[in-house]
Amino acid sequence: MSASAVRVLIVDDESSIRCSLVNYLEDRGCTVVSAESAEEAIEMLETEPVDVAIVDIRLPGMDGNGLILAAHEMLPSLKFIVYTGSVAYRLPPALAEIGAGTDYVFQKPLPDLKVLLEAVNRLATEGAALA
Amino acid sequence: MTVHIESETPSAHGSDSEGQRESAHEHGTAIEAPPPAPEPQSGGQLARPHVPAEVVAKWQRVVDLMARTVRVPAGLIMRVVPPQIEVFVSSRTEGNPYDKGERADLGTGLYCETVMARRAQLLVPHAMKDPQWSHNPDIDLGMIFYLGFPVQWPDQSVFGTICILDSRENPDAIEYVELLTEFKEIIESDLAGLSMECDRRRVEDELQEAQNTLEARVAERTASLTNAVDDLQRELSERRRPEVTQDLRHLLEHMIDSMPSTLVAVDGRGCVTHWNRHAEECLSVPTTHAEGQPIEKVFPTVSPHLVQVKDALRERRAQSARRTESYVDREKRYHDVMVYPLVGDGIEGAVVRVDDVTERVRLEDMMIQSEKMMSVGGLAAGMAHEINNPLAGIMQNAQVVLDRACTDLPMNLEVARELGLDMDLLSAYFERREITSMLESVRKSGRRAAKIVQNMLDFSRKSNTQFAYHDLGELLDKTVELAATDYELKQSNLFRRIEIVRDYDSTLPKINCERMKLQQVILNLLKNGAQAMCEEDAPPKTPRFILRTARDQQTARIEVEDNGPGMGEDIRRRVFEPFFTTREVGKGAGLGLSVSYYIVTENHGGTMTVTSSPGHGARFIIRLPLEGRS
Ligand SMILES: Nc1ncnc2c1ncn2[C@@H]1O[C@H](COP(=O)(O)OP(=O)(O)O)[C@@H](O)[C@H]1O
Ligand SMILES: [Mg+2]
Repeated sequence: MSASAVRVLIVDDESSIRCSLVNYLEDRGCTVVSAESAEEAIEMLETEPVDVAIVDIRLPGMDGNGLILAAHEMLPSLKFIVYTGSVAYRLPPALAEIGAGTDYVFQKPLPDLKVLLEAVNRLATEGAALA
Repeated sequence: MTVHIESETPSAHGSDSEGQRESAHEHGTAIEAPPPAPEPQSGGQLARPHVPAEVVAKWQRVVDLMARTVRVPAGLIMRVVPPQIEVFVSSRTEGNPYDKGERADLGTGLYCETVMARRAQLLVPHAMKDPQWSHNPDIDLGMIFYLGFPVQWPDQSVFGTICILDSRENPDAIEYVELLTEFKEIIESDLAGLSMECDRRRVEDELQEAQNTLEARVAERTASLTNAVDDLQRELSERRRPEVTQDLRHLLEHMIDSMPSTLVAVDGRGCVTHWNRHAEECLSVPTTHAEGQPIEKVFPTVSPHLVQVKDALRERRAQSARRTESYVDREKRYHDVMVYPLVGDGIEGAVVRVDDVTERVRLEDMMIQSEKMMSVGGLAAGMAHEINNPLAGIMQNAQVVLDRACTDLPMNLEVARELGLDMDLLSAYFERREITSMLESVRKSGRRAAKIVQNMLDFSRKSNTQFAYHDLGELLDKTVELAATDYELKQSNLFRRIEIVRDYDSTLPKINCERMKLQQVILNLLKNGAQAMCEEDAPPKTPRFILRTARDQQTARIEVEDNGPGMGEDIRRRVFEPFFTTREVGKGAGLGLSVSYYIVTENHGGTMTVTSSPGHGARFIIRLPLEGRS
């Protein structure tokens, strides 16, 4: 992978969703790691460099909202995308405060994953510009 | 209306406080002789009406005005809340140390206590100069001048006081006694109004309850009453005192005629001996024709229940059949049929009582139905999550597989080269074997499923009830999709066969409406139309809806037209009536159109009409104001 490849972390407990996302983003040149739970993701963040995390909300153990708050503590520059199947999801104010935006909340199923790829790229360039 | 229960008894005080209050009696400067002091309300709990906010607001203005006019820092309305007294309203004036809601214990020698105990006004010009008052709690707040009046409920029990206080001796204030009395009377007349209202409601409740009991009793007594009629009649006729017999007979017959039930008495062979007025009216059979006839001949509703009549006669036990179905003018109706045996010396016979309970049955069915709908709403959100996740798995994987079969992804070419695979050949194979198009159709089906879930959610979501601007054509199309997924219609595969013609006015502006409710209206029309078009006797060859939107001066017009059997004038006139249905109970509550009518006219300020004739379909027309609800 080239040094400029966007590094993405995917957290979803449903393997068919997780694996297809990994494959899709890898095909498009991203460097992707994935985790099945928030706990695993946090462990991973200690060693893996990541620019953007795509997070499912309903997870076994800690949920996606908790993960985002914890991960932000660890890596303030990390960007987040919420990808959830829950139709009633509203971005909690605590997440909005740390910069998570409603533009980056997506509802499953997405008719085309391109939308997610574009969001990842947008967030990555935003982060790079700030750095 | 909430009714607050307040005990009016300022009891639970030690004898000390009683003593204090007693002595206060003697030393207060009373301007008036106390009235023949009624004892403070003893024991028991009185239901006191709640003082509503608008009255409190008015009282606030009263005390403000009072304090300002008399030029004192504090004007108060106090309320007893045993064992305390509460500042109920406090004037918004400078230097007022009393806050609304503040409470003080009774029995501590407050000015107001004396006023309440004696039910007379009290003037304390200068507390420091009066040994009786020089140690009262209000002095701590600097309030040495006091003028107060008791405030009483219409039954003379104490509400509290109205009073003014000042930090200096205030000779002017005394001039205002008359004015303050006026204020006191305003407050008391409000209290009288409140208790009247409260009493009225209580009486209404009691009346209702009495009526319920009465009805139950009437039901119980019906049988014995009819027995009594027969007993009396026989007895009296035996005694041959025609004038008494006549009077009594009239009275009793009158009573039985006034019953809101169909009451029929039969003899031991099942022939009619009595036939009350309700029976005459409901069955359109005059008493003269009915009497002496076998009951099943003149009372078809009862014929399926002859067994019960016979059983009642034979076993001398009451029999009943509830919610029995029968058709009256092709309309299904429900009845409760009860048979009471006549018990008396040497009498054989029974009373049959029939009540029409159709409306009640329909209401119950409707309630069950709407309860079901409610729970569906809640389920839908949870279900959507369960469906959306696997759906994402299916759609995403299909997309990635498609991606990996195409020739323009560098990564694909790289792997193909490593394996020595001809990518163009591979993709030609995929085309020929239609793998690509099949995967596309997996994605397409997925998208459709997702849309169905979304539609269902939008429709069931309770929060979605605000007015907003919507394109009527879009709204119609969405509803058609929704109808296609409607379980009932789907089950009989109705909707798929129906052709849909759209005639939308593209220049029509968006309309301010409650989308979900309007969708409910359209859905009702589509369901009714589909049901009508697919009726068994004469289904049209090609069932067809024509959906139109158009502009009509200051209104937007929506039309839903079908080419089903239509309806005759007699039905057409009644379709918007609640509970009017030509369908079986359980299948149709007869509420669809009446609810729709309500939504269009009441919620949206529009109109709803129908044109139809037998054999020529039906056209429902909705007009909504272009400017939205005014
Ligand atoms: N499109 C239509 N064609 C013919 N008759 C109709 C049509 N729509 C409604 N009706 C008549 O109006 C009645 C009342 O309809 P509705 O209020 O929806 O109650 P329900 O569908 O439960 O009977 C129906 O029973 C039917 O007789
Ligand atoms: Mg209907």
